[in-house]
Amino acid sequence: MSTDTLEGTGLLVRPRPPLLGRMWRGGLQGSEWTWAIAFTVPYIALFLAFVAYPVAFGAWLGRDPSLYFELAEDPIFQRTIVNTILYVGIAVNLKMFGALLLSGFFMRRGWWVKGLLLVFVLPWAMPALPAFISIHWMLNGEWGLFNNFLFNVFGIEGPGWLDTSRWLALGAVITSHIWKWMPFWTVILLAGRMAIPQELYEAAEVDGASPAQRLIHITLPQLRPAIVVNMILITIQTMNTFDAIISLTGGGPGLATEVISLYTFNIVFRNYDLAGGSVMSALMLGISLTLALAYAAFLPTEEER
Amino acid sequence: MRASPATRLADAASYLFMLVSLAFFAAPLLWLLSLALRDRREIYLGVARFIPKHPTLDNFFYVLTNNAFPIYLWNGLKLATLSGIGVLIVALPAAYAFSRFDFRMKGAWMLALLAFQMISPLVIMVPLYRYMNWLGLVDTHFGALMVYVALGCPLACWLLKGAIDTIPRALDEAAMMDGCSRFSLFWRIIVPLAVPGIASVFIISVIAGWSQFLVPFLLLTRTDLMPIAVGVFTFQGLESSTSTQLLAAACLISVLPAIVVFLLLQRLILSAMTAGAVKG
Repeated sequence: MSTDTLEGTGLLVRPRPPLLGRMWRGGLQGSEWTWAIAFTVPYIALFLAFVAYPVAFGAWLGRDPSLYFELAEDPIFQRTIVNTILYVGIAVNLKMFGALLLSGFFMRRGWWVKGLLLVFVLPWAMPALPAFISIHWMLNGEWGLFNNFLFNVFGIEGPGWLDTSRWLALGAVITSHIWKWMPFWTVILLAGRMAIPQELYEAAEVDGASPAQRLIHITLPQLRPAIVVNMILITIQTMNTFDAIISLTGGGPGLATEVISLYTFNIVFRNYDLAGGSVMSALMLGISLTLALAYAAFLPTEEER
Repeated sequence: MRASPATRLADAASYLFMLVSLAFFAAPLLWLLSLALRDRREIYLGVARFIPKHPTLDNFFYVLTNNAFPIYLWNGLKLATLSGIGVLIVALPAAYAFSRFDFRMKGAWMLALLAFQMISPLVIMVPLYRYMNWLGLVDTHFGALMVYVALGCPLACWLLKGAIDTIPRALDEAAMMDGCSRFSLFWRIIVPLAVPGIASVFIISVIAGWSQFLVPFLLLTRTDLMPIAVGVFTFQGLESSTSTQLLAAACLISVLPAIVVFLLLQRLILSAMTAGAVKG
């Protein structure tokens, strides 16, 4: 940085000519407009080439309605829809609830609370597949950590968590998914809690509000926008991720944990059925975009902030 | 002021709950370590010990001297770092524009940005592959990188806009009055002042690039191009009863860099995440 510009900052105290100020605020003019375009061109180009075009191409590939009727009659597809609703419904709500509780805990002060937060956020920073492979081994029916623990401490023979029962497998998959993704949302909600004005709590304390009352009448209403918006994001994310399922159960036992995202993956990479895959992709794209629009509708606009 | 017994009981309960969840969150990592330190026989001991009796580093040596693995590591490192740089090149000027220029429909543009943040590579898998194949970018690191960057940009742009918003506009105006052009203003004033935000976005992008699985799995079919996440997955497919400890070592090696980077730079990363979230 040259000394000129450093000295230039000294101009801050001087009033600006009013004309210049008006030009600045009103729409962009002349060279300003050119600069705005120049700054955003790389982004727009990349976006058009590697996001917008594939999305449009995908929609075009799945344009024939009869494909969807065919798909709807596929018994495997019907199973995956039921599984997806179970998986997404349970995982999203547990994740949100857990993140809400934990974010409250992490508002506490103290070095060890900060240390705990680090451990909590670790799963988010870890690459998903190796982490889930480890959980896969923990739940191994014969020599896994979990069953050995049950046997040594309580003398119970643990079941085969991943390969015997539908509900155990589903539970294991959901728990692992939560393990990986709840930390991220905890941090997001923690930020939301930090943004709540402290005076509200102080006033409530003066009025003699109990902790439960403070939660219901201050924290939850204040967090409501964040919760609504994040619920939609979490739903989209949960629907689109299958890394826990593919490493833990691979969709089994039978089709018990085969969800729509994993089914799409399998159609493409196991059956090499590109036509079927593009129909599934287009379907998921439609659901994602619908949810994304709902998300956009709930976001506060620039003025409301 | 002493806390009432009820409050202290509630405190104790929540600390206990924390300890249990601590175990829940840290256990998979420790279990990986425990498996990676065993030899083949110890994996199947009827009563597995958490701490192996004869810990050995052989698995790590084996994996790191194996032909494919160092290449996977190198590819993963290369793709992650370059995608972090690419994200900055694309998202930083755009974030500046979003922060400083009052163009029409700015709110709508920002929303579109966020909406596309949610496009998962999964839902555009087939068109993406066919399109990249047509472009001749399948089995090139360049093609995979472009997709990494496109996927990473929305979040990065959002976080960077938050960082640039905190730099006072008066600074821009003063520099412009001194005859500083838009670009030199951006390059000489905004970028140096936004360095903490830029650094954290870079780290977040590199960690995300390191964990990418679906995109490289789709676009890179040659073994010598695969990054580590795909390599580990392929290795799992070949897993036999005799190689569990090796796969564990491979997994640990692929997880460690992300953890080390995260722990070293946690303050930066967490503050960027919370700052962006408050605004978004």
